Amino acid sequence: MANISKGLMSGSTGLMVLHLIAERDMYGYEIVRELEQRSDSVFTLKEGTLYPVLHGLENAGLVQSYMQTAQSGKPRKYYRVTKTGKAALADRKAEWAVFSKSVSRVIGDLCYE
Amino acid sequence: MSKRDEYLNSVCREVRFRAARKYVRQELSDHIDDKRAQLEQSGAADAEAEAIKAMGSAVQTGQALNAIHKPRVEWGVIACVLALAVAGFIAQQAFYPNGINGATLAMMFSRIDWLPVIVGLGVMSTLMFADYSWLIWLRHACFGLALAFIAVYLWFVPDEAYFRSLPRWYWEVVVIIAPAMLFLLGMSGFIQRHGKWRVRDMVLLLGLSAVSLFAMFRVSSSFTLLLAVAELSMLLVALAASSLASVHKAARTAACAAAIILILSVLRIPHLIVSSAHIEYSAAHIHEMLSGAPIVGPSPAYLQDGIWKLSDGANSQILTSSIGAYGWLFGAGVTAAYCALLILMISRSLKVSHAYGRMLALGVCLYFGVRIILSILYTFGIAGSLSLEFPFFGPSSINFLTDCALVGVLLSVWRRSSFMPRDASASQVSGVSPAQPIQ
Repeated sequence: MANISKGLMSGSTGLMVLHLIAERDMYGYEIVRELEQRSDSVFTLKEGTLYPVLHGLENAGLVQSYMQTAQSGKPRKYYRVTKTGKAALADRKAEWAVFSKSVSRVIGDLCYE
Repeated sequence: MSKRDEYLNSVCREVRFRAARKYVRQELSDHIDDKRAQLEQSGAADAEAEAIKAMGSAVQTGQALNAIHKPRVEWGVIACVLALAVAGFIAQQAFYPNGINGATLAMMFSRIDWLPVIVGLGVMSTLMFADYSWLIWLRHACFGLALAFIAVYLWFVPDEAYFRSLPRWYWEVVVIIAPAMLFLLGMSGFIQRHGKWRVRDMVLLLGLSAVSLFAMFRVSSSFTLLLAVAELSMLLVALAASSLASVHKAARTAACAAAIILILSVLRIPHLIVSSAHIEYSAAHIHEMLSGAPIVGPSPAYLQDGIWKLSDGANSQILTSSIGAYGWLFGAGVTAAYCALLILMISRSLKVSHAYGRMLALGVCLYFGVRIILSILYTFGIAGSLSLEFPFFGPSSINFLTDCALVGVLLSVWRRSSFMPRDASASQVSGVSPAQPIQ
């Protein structure tokens, strides 16, 4: 499992979380599990740190929370994306595409051992 | 103390806004439960300890959450309220022979009933720090009291002369505070608990609309307009808040009929439209204002007779008189302050996530908004005499106290809007399976 630097993680966690919530409504633990599974365990957050991200997104009006009974039968706080959130997600994805392409151009295809 | 409690206490200690702590604590505790369950399935020895370890630094998490959950105080709204209260104090001086000319500050201060003003500002500050969500548990008491006061008003007050002979505090409490405020709070609580509209809810509202309409005819005083305005506000907000697809067709028809009855009764539209004298009255009214003459004349005769008779209270003339006394700039400033207040209130309320909080906030905003618009229409002679006061501006000190209390509820809703989740109705919109209403 690769150790990704904090700077890289903090810059992209919001984008990944917003993307997952846009696909379907989720609660906190589901998001952490999904993030881990899809990234092949590359992105393993300190799980408590997800909640400032989620609450920050909600404060910005990009997601909304509501209570619902999960599959486990217990009530959980779900998050769903808002219209503003969908627009912000599209902008952030476009920004990420430009960023990652530019970085790749600068560093080329060099591999460091 | 368990490790879980240690972790949660460490996180919450960093979150300075105490009202947010219980929600943060619950969400993190639920996460630990889910993590522990997963670790137990994989056969972990001490699943709870591992789950807490996986959460990371409690202090860092708490500090990050603290940066997000700061209590929000809408200083713009508080500034508008205070500015309008001061302007109202100046406007009331216009009713005295010399106005503010020649009157010392001590004389002007002595003309005002200060106790309700001080109490009102104190109530506003207190309610701002209280948790508004407990109001939902008082819905039965609020609703029952409001209906009891209406019943007293309808059956024990035979005519206007008797009404006016009663002590001021009695009719101000019975017809101003009780119906409007209690009805707003009670109705919003019932709407939230039901979760969705049903036919019987709409029928109940239609019946109550008819009650308020009848109450206005029963004694020719327009104080019960406040009740009608409160009903109308909550009805419109509830219709907007509900998922209209789930509302039965008959219920929607009943709701629309109730809204139309209320609008007609509030504006006295039929009587105003059919009378050509009204156009002459409006023109004369505007001419008087433009010429700078103080406007204290009564409404035309047709508004004084029959079932549409309304009292020409000093309340609704206050802005008109103050324009005559202090000029157009004063009136324009007050109108601008009201517009700013309404825009701030409504735009802030629309951002509240918590369904009950948003409904309560928008209901209060609409209640103020309808009063402001109707009072402005009267000032320019477009609406007939309504005896409705501008919020925070009129001479009625009990009204000021009620208005301050409602602003206090608004401030409480906005203050907590960063962490209160929505209710289950949102899940129906997103297509996820329906859940139980929030307890």
